[in-house]
Amino acid sequence: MGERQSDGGLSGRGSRHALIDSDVEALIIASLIRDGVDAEAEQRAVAAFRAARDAAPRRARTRRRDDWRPRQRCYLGRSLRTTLSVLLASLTLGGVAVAAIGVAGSSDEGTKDAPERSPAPSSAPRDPAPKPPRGSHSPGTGAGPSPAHPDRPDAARDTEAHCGAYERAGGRGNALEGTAWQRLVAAAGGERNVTAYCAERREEPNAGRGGSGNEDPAANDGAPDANDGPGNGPGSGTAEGPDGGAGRNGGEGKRSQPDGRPNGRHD
Amino acid sequence: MGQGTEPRRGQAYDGELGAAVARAQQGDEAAFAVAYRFVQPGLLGYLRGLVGDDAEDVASDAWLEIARDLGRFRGDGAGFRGWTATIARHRALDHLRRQRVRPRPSALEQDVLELPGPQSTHDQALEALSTEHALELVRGLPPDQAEAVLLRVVVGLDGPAAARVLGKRPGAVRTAAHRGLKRLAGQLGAEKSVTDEAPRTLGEST
Repeated sequence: MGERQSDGGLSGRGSRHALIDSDVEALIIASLIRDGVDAEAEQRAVAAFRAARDAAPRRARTRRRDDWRPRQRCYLGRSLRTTLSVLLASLTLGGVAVAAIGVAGSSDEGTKDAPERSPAPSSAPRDPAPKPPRGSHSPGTGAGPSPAHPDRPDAARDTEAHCGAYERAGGRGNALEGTAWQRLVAAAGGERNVTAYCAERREEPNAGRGGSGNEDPAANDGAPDANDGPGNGPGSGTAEGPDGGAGRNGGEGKRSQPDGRPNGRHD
Repeated sequence: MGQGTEPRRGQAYDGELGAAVARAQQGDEAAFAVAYRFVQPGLLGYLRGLVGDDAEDVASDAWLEIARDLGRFRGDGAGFRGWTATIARHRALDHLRRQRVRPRPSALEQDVLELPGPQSTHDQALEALSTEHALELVRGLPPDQAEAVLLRVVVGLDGPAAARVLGKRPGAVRTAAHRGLKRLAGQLGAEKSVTDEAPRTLGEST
């Protein structure tokens, strides 16, 4: 920049009609800034400093115009506020979730409570009549954060479907989807028993359903399946009674959870 | 003259300046002198652009206030330059206001024209002439452009700091500085003779 200025800085080059900004800046600096300071003026300033220092014990209050901290003033305040808001919001949401869990857990007293607790209309089509779901594998997912798959067939249907697929595949287990195969194997009690198990199921399908641990044959009409839950049995720990009751309660809680959540706030 | 080697005057020293200011706020007299030496050249340049030859007097006033209020200041080196520029600006505006009430003798205007050139070798005489011209041109800019250019280039403030000194939005100050520089570039490139132009201070144009 210095070079540019020294050869282009107006030193007799009339052909030049425009300078770039850095030339101009250099010229301005050259014209307005004298390096070095006047010693006398400096002494006056220092004397003023001394006088001010000695006269006023430091009780000077920082006014807004004296605060030149680099933007942290605003940002700090703002970010603090933001952080607090986010924290508050998460606490609130967490509270809602906990409250919803509480509602789900306490609604196990009886499904008759459901209408007054959850008047949300959206619950009606999906769950016209609360039904005890099967709880063959995991007793309850009432507190489970993951929503159930409402359209997933129940365990017995699964088993039947898996059997069908297994037989269609000519008895080769790997034709089945991994999870399905493993469930089938688990239900049959071993890989070798799968064929026999499926044959048995075909003969008496209702009994086979009972074999999955469910006493209620009327419930296999597409109600949410309980064994998709992550096995958080403690969530349904508020449920009382035997295993069947726990499963039922868990299922109930699970189904009422999406709709019961906002209502839980008002309770 | 050491000019033109720093893209933004003063920014290279901000670390040291900030440390000196912090020590001065603890009562260190020598540190205050250090801070003074860092800041004063740019401040004086800014004031020259604002009030011409009265810059030294106005700067003295400003430093009295700076010394008095140093305890209130919060910030780093760059912040200190902005803070001191604000104080200097207020003192300069006061000064110009007083002048408007009490018109100054015309001889002062001649003084403005005759800023001493630093050296007298041939090349530097040309350069000095050109820099003198540059000073006049800066002071001939529309006030908002002139101040924006001065704060950005001479004091070395960044856009937001210059905007804060001027009490304007950063975008407006950036635009003003840009236009001012462009205008200066055009004028500096096109003109060669200066002496018949009457200088104009910001005070007169506001």
